Amino acid sequence: MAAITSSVPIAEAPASRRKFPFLLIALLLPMAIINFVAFVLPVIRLGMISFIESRSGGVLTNNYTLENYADFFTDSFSIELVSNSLLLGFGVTLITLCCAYPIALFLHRVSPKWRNMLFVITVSPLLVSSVVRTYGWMVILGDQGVFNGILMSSGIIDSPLRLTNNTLGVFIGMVEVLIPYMALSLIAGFGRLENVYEEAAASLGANSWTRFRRVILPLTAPGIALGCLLCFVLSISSFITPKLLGGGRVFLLATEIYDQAVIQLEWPTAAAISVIVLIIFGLALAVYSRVVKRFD
Amino acid sequence: MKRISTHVLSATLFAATMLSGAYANAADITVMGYRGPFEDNYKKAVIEPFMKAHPDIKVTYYGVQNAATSLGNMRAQRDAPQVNAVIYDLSVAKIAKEEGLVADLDTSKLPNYADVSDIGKDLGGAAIPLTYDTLTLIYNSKAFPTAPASWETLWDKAQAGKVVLPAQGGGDIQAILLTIISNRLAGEQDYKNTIDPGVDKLVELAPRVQTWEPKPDAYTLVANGTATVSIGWNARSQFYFDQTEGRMGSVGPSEGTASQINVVSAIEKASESEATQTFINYAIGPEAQAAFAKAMFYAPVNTKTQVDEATAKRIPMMDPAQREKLIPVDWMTIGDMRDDILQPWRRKIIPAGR
Repeated sequence: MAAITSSVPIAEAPASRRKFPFLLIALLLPMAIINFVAFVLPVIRLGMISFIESRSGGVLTNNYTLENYADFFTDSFSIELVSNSLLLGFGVTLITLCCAYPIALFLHRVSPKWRNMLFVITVSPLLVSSVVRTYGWMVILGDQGVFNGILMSSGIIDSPLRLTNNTLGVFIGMVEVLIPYMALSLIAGFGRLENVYEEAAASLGANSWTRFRRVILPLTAPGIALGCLLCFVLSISSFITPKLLGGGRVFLLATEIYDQAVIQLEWPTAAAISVIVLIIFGLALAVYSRVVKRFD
Repeated sequence: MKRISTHVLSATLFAATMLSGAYANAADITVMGYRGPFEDNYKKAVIEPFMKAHPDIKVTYYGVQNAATSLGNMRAQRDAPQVNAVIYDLSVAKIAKEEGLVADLDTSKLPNYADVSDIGKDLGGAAIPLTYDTLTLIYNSKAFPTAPASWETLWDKAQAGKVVLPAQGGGDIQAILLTIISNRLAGEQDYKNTIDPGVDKLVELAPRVQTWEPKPDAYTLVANGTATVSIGWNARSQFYFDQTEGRMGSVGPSEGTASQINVVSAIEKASESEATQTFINYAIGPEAQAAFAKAMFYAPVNTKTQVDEATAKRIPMMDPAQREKLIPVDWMTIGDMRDDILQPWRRKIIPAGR
């Protein structure tokens, strides 16, 4: 079949098609300009600020220095920030994947009659701002919240469980916020999964676990990789949920950038941490590319 | 008919001349400052009366989240300022002055400046004191039928899990003042010597703290009973006392308290400098000071301000006994010590409460 296809002579492109690059450039140019002005230039400016020397109290000088980066990498608190952020990123991504995968698989297999409605229900949390949803979790998980209220009124516990204002609260909030993103990414990456492959595996004697491990999982791997990349990046850069549910106890890279810029007034430190976060995102993107290439 | 036409023409020309003159003298200025209740009350108590008294000057208030946001805007607009004056706190004003973001006004051209109290005049014409405020202990009235009298209430074991302390991102000026107060409670009177005793005392308190980042704010959590005790600014506490019909109270503890100073600065390179100076002079005058003290319970900076007794009673800085016990804080050196004071919050105090 491939030989037949390749033997078909390729007709010369018409004159209008030869002008294609100009059309392409004309179409891409507005977005490229917006991207350059709204993203590339600010990132360059951010990089420049990260090298500005600041005096005690956050006063900016006209000198440039590497100290902001040196201070970051030699400070144990900064290392704790990086490890906290990476642990949160990996942990939240893993839990979100475990929660969203069965939902996405179900949506992929369900009858088309129900699929659209169930799909809308799955992504409907995105219609509500994550700030509102996080405040909702504060009401549910707080000391005087619904969850503790039920447990205490039923006599299971005497004093409220500490479910917010700590890392646990941040995990719960983040997972809920990110499940729709993970589900969307998984569904988008499930294109290669067809029932016939599973039926073929079953006919060859594969049990359900083997079918999942040897057929479903490899075929859905691109979706998993995409979902994990998206959730990891979103959780590392998330700021509102840790701020609202962390009770000031959860120190992460994203919250540190805000605190350094707005509370401590140390803009160069905040810019240096932002650049480091960008590098982490770049590394995550490189890993994603390798994973996708491997499964293609 | 010809005579009438001449009169009409003359009147029109006169009106046009007057109007064009009025427009030529008119000035639009923008004042940047805290948003929320501060903005609402400042507009009513100061800006609207000022515009009535000076119809040729239009003042627009631009509300921002906090003093740091103001500093950020000033840095971003360094070469083309969009605001003419800024209201923020003295410690941030010091940074703005050192970065050349604010104009150093000639105070001899501000007649009301001579009547301004000496507290907070450290930066001269670059940052003119506008309001004084004090740190207070705020409490839930139901949990405390009798108002607590000491800062030590925060360390009361009976309040474990019901204490909230605003120390966003490792703390701002409230955390700095609490460190200084804790230091004194632990026996060290001068924070410039060491803050270690105060830090140790706060480490002891940390496990009993419900949250270091109260949302929406400490006043609301104390008023609705989520927390029983916290710290706050007197002005806002009094405002919330009225808003919550007394569910949240505030007290200046017996050990004394420390003050916070809001200042007003004219922006360097901004236009309308004369109109800005006129506004600043009005803002530090007795009339504006009295009106804003009545509206928001900030202590007036102008010594000639007449405040009614009911308002004065709710402002610790106007109580001679409290003023005598005022803990001295040198905001000029605090700027340099800021990192040293706040680092233990992120590395020792808050982690001790995990």
